[in-house]
Amino acid sequence: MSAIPEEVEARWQIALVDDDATVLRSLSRMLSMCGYDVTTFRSANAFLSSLESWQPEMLLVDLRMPGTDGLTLQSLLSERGFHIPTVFLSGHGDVATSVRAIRAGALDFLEKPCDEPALLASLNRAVDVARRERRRSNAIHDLRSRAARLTRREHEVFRWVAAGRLNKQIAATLGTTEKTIKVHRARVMTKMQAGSIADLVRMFDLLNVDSLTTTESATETGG
Amino acid sequence: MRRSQEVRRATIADLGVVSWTARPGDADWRVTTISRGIEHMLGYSRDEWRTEGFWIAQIHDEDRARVASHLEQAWRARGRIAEICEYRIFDVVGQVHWLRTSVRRSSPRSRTLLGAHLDITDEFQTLEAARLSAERLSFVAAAAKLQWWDEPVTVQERATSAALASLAGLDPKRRTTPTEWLTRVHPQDRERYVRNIEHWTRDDVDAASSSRSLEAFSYRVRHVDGSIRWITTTMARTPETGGLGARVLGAASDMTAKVAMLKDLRAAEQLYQDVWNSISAMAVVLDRNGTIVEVNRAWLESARAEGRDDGYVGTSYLDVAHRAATAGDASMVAAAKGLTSVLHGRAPHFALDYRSHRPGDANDRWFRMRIIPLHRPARGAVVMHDDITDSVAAEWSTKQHRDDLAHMQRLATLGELATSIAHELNQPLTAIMAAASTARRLLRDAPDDDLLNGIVADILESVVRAAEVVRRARAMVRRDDPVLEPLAINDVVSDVARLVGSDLVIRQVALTLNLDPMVARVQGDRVQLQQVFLNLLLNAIDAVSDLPRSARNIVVSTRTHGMGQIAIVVRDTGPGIPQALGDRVFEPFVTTKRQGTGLGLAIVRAIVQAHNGQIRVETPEEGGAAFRVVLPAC
Repeated sequence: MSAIPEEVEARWQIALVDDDATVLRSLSRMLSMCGYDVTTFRSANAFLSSLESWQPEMLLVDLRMPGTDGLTLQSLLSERGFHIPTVFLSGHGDVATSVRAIRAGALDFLEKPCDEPALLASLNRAVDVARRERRRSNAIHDLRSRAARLTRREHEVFRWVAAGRLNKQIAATLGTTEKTIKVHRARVMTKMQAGSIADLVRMFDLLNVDSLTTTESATETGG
Repeated sequence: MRRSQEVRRATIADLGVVSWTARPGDADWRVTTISRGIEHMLGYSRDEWRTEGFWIAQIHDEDRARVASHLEQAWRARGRIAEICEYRIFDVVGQVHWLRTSVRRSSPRSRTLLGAHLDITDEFQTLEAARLSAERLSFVAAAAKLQWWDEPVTVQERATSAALASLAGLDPKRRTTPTEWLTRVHPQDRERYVRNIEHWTRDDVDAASSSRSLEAFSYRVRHVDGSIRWITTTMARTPETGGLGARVLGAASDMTAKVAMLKDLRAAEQLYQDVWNSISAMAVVLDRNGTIVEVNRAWLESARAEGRDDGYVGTSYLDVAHRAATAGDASMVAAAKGLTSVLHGRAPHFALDYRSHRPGDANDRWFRMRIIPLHRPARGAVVMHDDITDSVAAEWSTKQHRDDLAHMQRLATLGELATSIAHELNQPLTAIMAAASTARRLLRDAPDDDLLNGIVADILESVVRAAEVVRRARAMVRRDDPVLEPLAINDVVSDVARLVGSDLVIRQVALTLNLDPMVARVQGDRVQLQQVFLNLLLNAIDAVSDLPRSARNIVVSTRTHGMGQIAIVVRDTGPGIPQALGDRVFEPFVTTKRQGTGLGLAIVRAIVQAHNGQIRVETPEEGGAAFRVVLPAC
């Protein structure tokens, strides 16, 4: 079944929020059976406060709950900078509410009671998003550890090469010879495991987007 | 002596002369001679006359003693003087004659009294008639409260008659001069007064013609008590006959009361006419037979439009009604019956609403006919026709509007019920479905257990069916999504206030609209928002209904609320929402009313939320409950 995550992948971390304990328990059992790593919460607030210590990869949340309801939780999460793929469950799926939820970034909107295939199909879309996110964060993590092995001078050469400067220009800027720059550049390519200059530029962009601080310090040094 | 004998004879023969003899001290006078004239007049025989005391016996009882004493005195006067007396005497057939008799002893020693008689019966009757006439005149004058006078022209010129003066409260003994009198006459009437008086006192006036033409004139006089009196005077001038000189006859009476009454009457008549014609209904007065005797302006205008300038006056209303009834106008059957009942005093009044089509009108018009009996002695009735088309239409449209909203309310209640049940059912269904799915997955490891696999398959199939039933039920009564348009919220509130108008009257609740004319429009569905405020207002009316009448107050206010929002607050003076309940009153099946479904406020909240608004219940310090609806402005 396509809904079952690949064997090689770690179990997907999903948070389940519903005020009904029985619903929570039965859904949790079902999703666990299907291979998810399920954590349940009886209220939106309980879930929100748990976020200090962890972050689930996806969220299945009931729309209508006492206190903070599903839509409010969604907007609170986005306010706090969490981008968790979310699927809504609703006892009454009226068009206006579902439109609002989807506009606010919900992946899907399911009417209760939903059967297993429908729920798993929706969650698969969340899995796709989560997988992309997981790969991206793995790649960045990998690149970061490679970049950590670069010397200070190699870092500077990495930045200028990614910015499209010629060896001669870089040598002039750094006050050294073109030959030296050539050596540095070859080392950067090897350490970063880049197959081409284009590869190197893409790696630089990924690092730049995700770790602003690293790039900033590099710019300062260069400036 | 001879000469005296001759004279006596001649006198006895030609004049009414009687001589009597008497013995001194004896009253029984005996007639000795009687002239033919007297004998003929009274008709007694000569023998009867000669009987002693016969003359005296024929005299009227009341006069007899007086006549006897006269005769006695004449006897004792011995011819020096003649006694004259007037008295009544009966003739032979019992008729009374008045006689004037002059008695004298013919000589101092004569034994005979001589009486000369004059028949004054005619003269006496004339006098009596004159006396009676004067008596009648004064009686009539007194009865008619007339002051009258009959004076020489010259007196009228010199002074006002005593009779006239008394009308102005002046002393009648002190004659008032014309100048003095004129100062009492109202300035506006003076010229006319002078002209009239001069007409009767002028020397050149044609006495013969003026005596025949009586003319009355009225003028105002200031009474001594300060009030103004109306005096009507009629005057005539008698012809100058018998050397008495021309006389002025006058009669005057105080007409103040009559003039005042007349004025009041005229004012009352005018008032009646104005009121009668100001009635916008078409109205007629019928006599006791149902004939139209009077019509008002509205009726007349309507009749003129039908070419009847007479307004049908003189036509029998009853006949017209009967004819229309016979022609098949069902409402006229009832009208004719009602009219007959009222005219015969069997019904205190009658009213009937009917529909009528007039040529030229696009639609039928509604009229209300009212028949009110007249309590005057001649009886009869007033019939009024009010054009109530507009109020009937308004009433009908209000009713229609309320019916529509009531229908919507029933649908909404059903929808809310289904939603609530669906929500309550869907939770366990979700749990069942998830649990069964898990079970099925677990059973993959035991594919040979047909019994367990069958059970789980049945559970799953049944739960899917149950979910489908709930879904279909909800879909059937789903509230339509609001059709949003820019709305003046004040208009929506006013519309709803009008719809509950009759509830307010019947339950004697005071509703105050405190609407801010500056509030912006809202994006809303008119009918759904009307439903919101109808629910809130009807709840408020219910809440205050058990209070004393003066404490039943509801205030609806609108105002701008923060940035781009409008708040509408419905506040009542009722017992308020229990603190423990709070916002839970908006949840389905929560109610404070014995008869409530607990869905009204749930619907209200659902609609408000569908409008991206919020609703809250508050407990004001002064008590009661306040429902605050906040809607986004557009």
